[in-house]
Amino acid sequence: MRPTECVCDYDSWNPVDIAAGLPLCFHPSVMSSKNWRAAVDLTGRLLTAHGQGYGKAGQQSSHTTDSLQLWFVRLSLLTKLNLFQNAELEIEPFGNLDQPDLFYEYYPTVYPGRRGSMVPFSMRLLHAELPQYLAKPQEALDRLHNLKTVCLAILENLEKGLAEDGSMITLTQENRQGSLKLWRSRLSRVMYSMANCLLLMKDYVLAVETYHSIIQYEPQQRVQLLSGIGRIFLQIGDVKTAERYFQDVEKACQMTGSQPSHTTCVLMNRAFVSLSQNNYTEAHASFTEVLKMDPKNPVANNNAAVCLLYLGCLKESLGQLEGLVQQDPALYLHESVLFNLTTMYELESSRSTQKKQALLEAVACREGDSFNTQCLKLL
Amino acid sequence: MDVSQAKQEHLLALKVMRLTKPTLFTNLPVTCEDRDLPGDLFDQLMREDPSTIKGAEALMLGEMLTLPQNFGNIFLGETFSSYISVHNDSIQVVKDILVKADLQTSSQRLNLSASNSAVAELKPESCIDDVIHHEVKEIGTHILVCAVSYTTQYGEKLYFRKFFKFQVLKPLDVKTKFYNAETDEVFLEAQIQNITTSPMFMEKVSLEPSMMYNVTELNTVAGGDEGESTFGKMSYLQPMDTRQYLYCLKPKPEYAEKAGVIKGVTVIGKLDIVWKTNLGERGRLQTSQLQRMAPGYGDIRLSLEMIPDTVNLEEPFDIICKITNCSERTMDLELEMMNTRSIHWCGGLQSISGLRLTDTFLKRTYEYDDIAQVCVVCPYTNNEC
Repeated sequence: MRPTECVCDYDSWNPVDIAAGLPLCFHPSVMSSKNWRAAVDLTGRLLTAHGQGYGKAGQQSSHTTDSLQLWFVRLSLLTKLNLFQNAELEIEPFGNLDQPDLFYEYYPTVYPGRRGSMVPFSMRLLHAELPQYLAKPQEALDRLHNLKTVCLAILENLEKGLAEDGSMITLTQENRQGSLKLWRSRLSRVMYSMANCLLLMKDYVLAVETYHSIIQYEPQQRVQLLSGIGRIFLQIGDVKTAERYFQDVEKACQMTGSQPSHTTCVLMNRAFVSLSQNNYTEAHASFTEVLKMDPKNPVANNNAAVCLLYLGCLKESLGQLEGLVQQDPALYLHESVLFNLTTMYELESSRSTQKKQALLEAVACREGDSFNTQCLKLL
Repeated sequence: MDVSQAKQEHLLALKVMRLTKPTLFTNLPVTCEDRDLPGDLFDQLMREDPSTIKGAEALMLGEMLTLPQNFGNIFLGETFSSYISVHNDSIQVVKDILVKADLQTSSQRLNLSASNSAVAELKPESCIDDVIHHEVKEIGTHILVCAVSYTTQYGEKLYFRKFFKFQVLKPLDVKTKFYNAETDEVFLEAQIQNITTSPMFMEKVSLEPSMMYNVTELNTVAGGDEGESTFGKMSYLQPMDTRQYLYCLKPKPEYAEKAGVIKGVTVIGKLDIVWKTNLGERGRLQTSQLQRMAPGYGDIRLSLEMIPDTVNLEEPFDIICKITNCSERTMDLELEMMNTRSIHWCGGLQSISGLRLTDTFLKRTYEYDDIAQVCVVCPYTNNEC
């Protein structure tokens, strides 16, 4: 195990640039072909080589920043594979990520002079979010709230001219700006997690408030956030309030000047309102308007096909979706689109199983081992 | 849900799918920072994912519509919508196809089909589609009966039916309470509970009064152009949550004197409730006519027409009372007003007492004390004294 290089005297939670010190062969491209299970196995083998991993629970651990990054990747992939229980089991020995052996000070020979936590912020975020996928959303919310408090405290210190931990170390202007930017983006990421968790808990009032409060930190996402809030109200059934939010979106779009993405957003919102008023014809027209500007837009294509079904045009709808999958499988072999396809196959004929098999074959050769075959409903 | 008949091989296949509103696909964001081992990879994957929101990939609620996964629940007052598809699974052309859809409940059989005429011919691999809608008005077992008749190319007439059973459940629990005011007004408190498994947006809860009453609803707070609901931001009702709505009913002047108002059972009106769920899925219910038992007033009723809320100390004030003869006979009455010794010189709520009515024929005296309260204030110091 090679010691990593000591780069600078940053304090808590500012992970070092690890690319320089990466000792083992884990290149991110292993994950780009979506063979996540294979990637998970690889992390397992590498961690074992590190002296951790399978069968080593309970023994004294020796962490490095690299090994922690490997753990982070492993846990992230388990989460992406929806293997939440496995992830929970494996993260459990880390406690609340503030055990002494997770600090630089614990390894004075390996990281001489360095202080603070070795745990990547992204790992803390994952650790906080995990309980909600295991039916313990309140615990996730509590952990996220703690993270938020820390981010706010650090930002306050930085804004007051202190270092992140409140000490009087002077930072250069460049470092201060860099640190402020980093912690602001971390804060808004935590707030997104909190809002998502509240939505999962069906606490719509708080979820809406939280999404709303992200706008001040990420003003360039105003249109997306307001539209998202509108969709939440549509899910509740409060069409009037949704329309008010969509009007705010239109105003925001007008203020920032017309961008194609904004026009798309406004049209999509309009389509959802039409849907909520049982006007599938209008909804289909709005989605089609989007396709005039952006013919490859996968959401507009999928949604237009869905509208066709509600208008009694099964064959047309199927034809549209099938055509898309054949033309551009990379874009359209998505869980949601495939689910819609298989649902329509079942409605169309008794020979739906054959068609689903054909789909599965098409998917298998493209998607790697991470694909969730449940959406093909072959059982 | 699918219970089909005898196993003859048919050339046509009938499939049915309930069309509840679609749902929005939700993502599970997994992110990292550039400094982490995966670098930009996780973000790249999320950007490439067609179902994420571009520019705000951490936003969980996407825009991609997903068709309903299963039949789900259906509640009284909702609209049952269904896709009915008849597909020619064979290699021959089929003629004279008639598709009928009926809904059978415990009390009636309703025809749901949009068209009642036969389709002349159906080629192989083609289908006949229909979407039916029906507002469900009964609780309990419903059976969708689909019947298909057709003629093969050899002239053989064939027929089959499929039955799809489903239960209609009760969505709301409604309890009502009446409160009688000292005047002729009646207050109705309607307690509504959501007994479904999803949140409900209460779009409208109104009381349609019977002929005899005018109604004022007391569920909005004045202010703004429309007035805000008394429930504030909580515009929706979570499963098992309850809400109370308040209405004030005043009998119309022409009915105020009628015997029915004063005694016995009166019909007050009915509640009209409209709610919405996912993506505007609508439900509507009306209660039956709500009835109220009038409080017993005896032979004579004393009620108040006009009384001020607040009066100044040591200043006379006017009240207007109404005396109603609730009996079957004519009465000769004498009115006597007795001073009470209002001993509490400190102000606050004072009771009006001391009215006596004597029926001169029967020599019976009716005493009316504590008929109303007024708030007495000291006009000099602007405080209650």
